[in-house]
Amino acid sequence: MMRRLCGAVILLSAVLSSTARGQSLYSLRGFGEDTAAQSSLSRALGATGAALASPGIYANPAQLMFAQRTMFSGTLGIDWTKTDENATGKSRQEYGFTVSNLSLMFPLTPSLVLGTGLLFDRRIDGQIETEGVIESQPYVQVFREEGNLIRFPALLGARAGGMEFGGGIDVLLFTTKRSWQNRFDLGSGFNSSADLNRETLWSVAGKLGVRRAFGQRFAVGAWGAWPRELRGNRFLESDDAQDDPDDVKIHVEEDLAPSATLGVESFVLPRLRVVFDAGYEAWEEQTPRTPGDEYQDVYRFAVGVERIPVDRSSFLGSFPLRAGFRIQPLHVLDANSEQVTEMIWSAGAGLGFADGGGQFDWVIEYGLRGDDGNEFQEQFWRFSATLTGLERWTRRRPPEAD
Amino acid sequence: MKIPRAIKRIAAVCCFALSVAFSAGCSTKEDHTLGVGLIEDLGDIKAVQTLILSPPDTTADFQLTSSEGSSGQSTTLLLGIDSGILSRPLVRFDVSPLPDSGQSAIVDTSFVRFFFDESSGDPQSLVATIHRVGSSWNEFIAAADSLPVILAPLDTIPFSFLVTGDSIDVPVTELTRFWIDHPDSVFGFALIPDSLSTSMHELFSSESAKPPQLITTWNAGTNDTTVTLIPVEDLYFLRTTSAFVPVTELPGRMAVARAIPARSLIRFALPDFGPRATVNRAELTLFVDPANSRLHDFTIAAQRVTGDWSGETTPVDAFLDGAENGEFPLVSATSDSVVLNVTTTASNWVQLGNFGLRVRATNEIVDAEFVRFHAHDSEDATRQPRLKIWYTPGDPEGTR
Repeated sequence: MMRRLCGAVILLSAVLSSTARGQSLYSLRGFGEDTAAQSSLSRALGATGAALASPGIYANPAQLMFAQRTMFSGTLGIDWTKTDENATGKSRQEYGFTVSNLSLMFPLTPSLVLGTGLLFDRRIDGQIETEGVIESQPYVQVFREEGNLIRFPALLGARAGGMEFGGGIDVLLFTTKRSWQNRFDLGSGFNSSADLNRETLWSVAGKLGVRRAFGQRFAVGAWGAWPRELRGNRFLESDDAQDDPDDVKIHVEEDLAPSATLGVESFVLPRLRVVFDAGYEAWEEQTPRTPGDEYQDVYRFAVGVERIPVDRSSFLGSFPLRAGFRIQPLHVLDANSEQVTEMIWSAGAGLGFADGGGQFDWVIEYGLRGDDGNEFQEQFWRFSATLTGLERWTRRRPPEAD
Repeated sequence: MKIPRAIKRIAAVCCFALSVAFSAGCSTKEDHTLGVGLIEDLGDIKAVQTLILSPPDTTADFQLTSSEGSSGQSTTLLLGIDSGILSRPLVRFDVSPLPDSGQSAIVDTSFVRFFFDESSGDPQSLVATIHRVGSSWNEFIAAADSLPVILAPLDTIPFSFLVTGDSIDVPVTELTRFWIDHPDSVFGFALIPDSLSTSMHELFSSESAKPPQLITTWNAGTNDTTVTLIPVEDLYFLRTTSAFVPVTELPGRMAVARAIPARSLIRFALPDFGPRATVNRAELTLFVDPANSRLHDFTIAAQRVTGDWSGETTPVDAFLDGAENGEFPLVSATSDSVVLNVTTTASNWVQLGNFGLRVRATNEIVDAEFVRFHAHDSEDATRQPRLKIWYTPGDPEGTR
């Protein structure tokens, strides 16, 4: 029953994810909004992952070595964003729904683990409408863009000399649809126009990571990703009835920033884990996607605290409790050419089930983007849940065992 | 401690319910008017712009030497001679509702009533003779020079109309008796204008709301019987006379004429709007030269030229452009200018190549009127043709 219900949740969520609508208006710049592809456990700890002793494919590939059994996990996210425009005082609220990640980890040997999956890394989604007048004829100009950057990791983790190593590649797929419409009223004698730019680009990014524990209480980790430029085609289309049916096709190359992250994990108390990450993304060296974008380097700092379950003598005592904080600027300046700082506070917990064969983690995040000097001030809430199945949970049991 | 099974179920159900609830809330409370700074940052590259072009690169006009197609579906019958154009209408009735063959003697009177629409030239100077037609004809396929056999004149009729709606009765009693007795020879009659006539009358045809009527009265012994018939076929044949002078031979002007059609060609040099540009609207303004025109009113249209110009054989798209909300612009004797909505044509120029357009009357077989517009080489630069385009720019390099 439990498995069927969870399966239904995942399936339904995947179907409904196609209805996700615009979120951060800042996502319309650069490569969009960082949608946090990490698991709920990591996000509850400030989205750390460089030195975290928890299996995953989203951050340091050395984390794979913490997959003791074959693991499957998937994360569903729902979020609410409120945007206030400083210049106009206008406000809007929107909801979104995503499948943040799917991952598979296979221990090939006790010291070699294979990891793969899908990470929903960045999201572009928004619509802007502005009224125009051309010689007393009103019309509405509608700009809309949607797209996402998805990563498909293929990673190997190994343990040697008391250290965990990991490496491999992320196959990157970046797709966007940007449309411009000029809408005139029917019967005005004016034709409306609709132009659509479609982009499908791909690339690979090499990843390397290492983690070293010093005793039982302290570990450090570092990892980096070096993406090649995204390459592919941009199709310029138009729905003008008189248009030439042949689309204009342009070869496109776009730059992604390399990144590096350092982290530490420390058990300051036997039941209290503290993690810290410092990350860097070199965006300023990259060519912006559009002339309107202005990139800046990203320095990310994240910290997380987890109370390890004390024992199973009480119900509440059996839950891990987590909290985290993350701060980083967006990689693109706003319309005022000002830096936009994003801060996220998180809290979460977890629940084991099926006699240790499964894990259910969840996180609630509250975030702020921008201040009164920026184009927008945004606040958002996110709720994500990660369902993890371990080998024993995924293996069919004999019917008499049920 | 083992987590109770119920707790697990509750957690899963809560997750499911929360997912559905938030999904149901998608797309609500949206306000898309925020963030216009982004459009400005992108250079407002897709804002609608306007462009006015005048004068055109070149203009030309030409007139055919004969009418085009059959006039059988025209709502008028042209009768007369004007400006070197001769028009002769033919009308045929089905007389089978009249008395049977051999009983023609009981017909007391028979006449054809024509209703007047309007005329050009001197309206009081038209005299025509009526002739029996001696061979068959077909109003749908009759070519302009395929006049059937016209027999000797039967009578001379003065056509002295002045006001729209006026009617004249043409006596055809003997002719009707002949048709009754010779049902195999009912080919109708023709009206031939006198060669000294200087007027072109427009009579309502069988395709109009006031068709000609054959009104016949007979008495079979007790009561008078009167039957009114309308034509089963009618048309007119046009040709030019030695006095014909094409309307296209006036410098600095370009003409559009009906009857013997005259059409104008115009081409504007367009800038490169960039790939995928959209023409939101295009208006062609033509300025009328009323002193050198002769018309009451008629509608005009534009056709996209699809190849190099070569007079009357210039290739054009069959689509008639220029209408606004389905109505083609009307040019009249009092018009100063006329505006054609040529959005479709201009869109095709951008997409398929610009060979200009052709301006013609939407209906070229109703009368013999013509209008002259100022051309690209008009002595008055303010009245040369003008093209105004509202467009969404394409994607020049650097903005893609």
